[in-house]
Amino acid sequence: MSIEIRNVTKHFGAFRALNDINLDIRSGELVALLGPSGCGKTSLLRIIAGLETPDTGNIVFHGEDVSQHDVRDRNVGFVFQHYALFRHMTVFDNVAFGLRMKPKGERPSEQQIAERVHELLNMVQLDWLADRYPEQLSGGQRQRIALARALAVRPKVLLLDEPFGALDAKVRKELRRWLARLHEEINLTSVFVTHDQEEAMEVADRIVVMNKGVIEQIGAPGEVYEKPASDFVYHFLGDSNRLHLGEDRHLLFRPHEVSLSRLAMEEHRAAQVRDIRPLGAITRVTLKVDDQEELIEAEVVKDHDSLTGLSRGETLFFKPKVWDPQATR
Amino acid sequence: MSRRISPVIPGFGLTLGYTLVYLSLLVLIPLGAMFVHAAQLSWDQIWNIVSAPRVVAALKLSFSTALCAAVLNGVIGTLLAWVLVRYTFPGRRLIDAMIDLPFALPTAVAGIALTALYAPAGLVGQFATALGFKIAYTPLGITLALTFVTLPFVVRTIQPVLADIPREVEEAAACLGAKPFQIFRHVLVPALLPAWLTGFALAFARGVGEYGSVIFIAGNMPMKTEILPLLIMVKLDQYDYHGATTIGVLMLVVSFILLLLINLLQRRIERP
Repeated sequence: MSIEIRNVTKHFGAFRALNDINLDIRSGELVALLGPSGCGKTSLLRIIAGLETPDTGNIVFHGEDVSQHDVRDRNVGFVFQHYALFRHMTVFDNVAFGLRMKPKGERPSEQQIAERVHELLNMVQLDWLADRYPEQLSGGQRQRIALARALAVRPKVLLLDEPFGALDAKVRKELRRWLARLHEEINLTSVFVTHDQEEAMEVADRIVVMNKGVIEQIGAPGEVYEKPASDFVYHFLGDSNRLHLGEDRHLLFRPHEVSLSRLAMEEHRAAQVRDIRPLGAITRVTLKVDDQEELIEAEVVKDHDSLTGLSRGETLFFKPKVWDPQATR
Repeated sequence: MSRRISPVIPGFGLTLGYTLVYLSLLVLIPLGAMFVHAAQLSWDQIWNIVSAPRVVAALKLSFSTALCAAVLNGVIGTLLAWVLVRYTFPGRRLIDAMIDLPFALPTAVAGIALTALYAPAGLVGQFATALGFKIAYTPLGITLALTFVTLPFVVRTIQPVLADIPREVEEAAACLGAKPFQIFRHVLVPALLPAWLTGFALAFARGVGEYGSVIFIAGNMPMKTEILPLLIMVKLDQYDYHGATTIGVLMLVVSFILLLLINLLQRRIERP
């Protein structure tokens, strides 16, 4: 089901959380709302769900304006950062909750509910935990249960608010790959909020970059990374270097977009090596250029020629690969 | 090579010993003495004392008014705790502080104040008189005094539990289609019930034993508005120590059974 967001504005007191947001989400798409904290991404998600009311604007689900619909009638699955599981219920009862709350006429029989719950628990690979209580589970398991619970009522839209934010790095990585695979399987229109650009790049079909209540750019992961619409997007989507060119002009480039050499070469600038950090497949070299305070970080493959026998204090020659006046901002 | 982490309070033996001595001196020995004293009577004599119509009437009155007050507080206290936890409004801290006043106030003062207010000619009582019923000097007045005195129990036991339930849990339930009543019934009540029962039991137990605030508003008419603690005082005034201790033991046994039942119920609700 598609989601259209039309001219949505939201204030919290004097603070403008969202300013005239327009966004189209296609049916079956997995979209990431990416931005720093306080950029309005969570407010937007909560407005889509109906947990928050916009000051102005409309939310349209599949051509139907649902702005006036209560959260109960929007049929959205919502996954919270801190899981929000029901503590006094077993995993099974948590997942069954939505089905059991249905009005008498629509409510499936207990047997059908049990079948559906086990189907979902199998899908999140946690069927063996059905009789446990939430506090007996790890964070990653709790979040998968929360997802199963949200999916139990067959929502038309799945909304996830920083779903991996409370998990440790390794579990987070596992779980986001798993979510991407799951999305391929069930193909449910999904929106998730994150402040982690790597997470957005890895999971989403499209990324919506937000800042201070407005959308800075919408695009596929490659697109927003390669063709950032603004300095903000450029900085937010990855590490960046700023090289001053004089007269208020400067050049932005990513640490890996650099050519390094031990010998002086055409268009290359000299710099002093401040630090060398092997980071696995790549090595990061920190460089100091004469006429600027800001340091430059360069990342090259670990067996790069220029690294052999290199030590701090030596001189290296570097050239940003995007040596393009167009890219100068 | 396993070294135990030393506990914050040292020495199991010492703490247990202290606990037992403390409990014995303050609780077990006085209560035990009561049993010993009452045990000097034969079963027949005991039965005669506890089955006297005046005692039975007082017993019914004491336990029923305490139960009513506890139920009433179960509702009012929950609402108060809800308002104090879930809403911010001017004067919230003040009201929050005022909740404990019934504990601080000498119960006799509370009793006299309530009597003055709810007596047939009192500020509030006159309206009741106009409508044709009485508050002070009836079981209604006793319930009122007990409700006042036991108010903090339910509020104070529920408050922290309620504050600990994240808003998100209710939102999650709403997203799953639960109506407000269903959220209350299936999400909030199960989470609050153990604490609520504790508050209820405390209020009830305190209500059964309450003396100071009740005797002023009760009117103390035998068979009608005479509570058990007062009856004990009456027996003592008549130097009937055996009668007084026997009633004391009776109250103790009935209260203990009721508290035990509440505790068992609580165990069943609280799952791992």
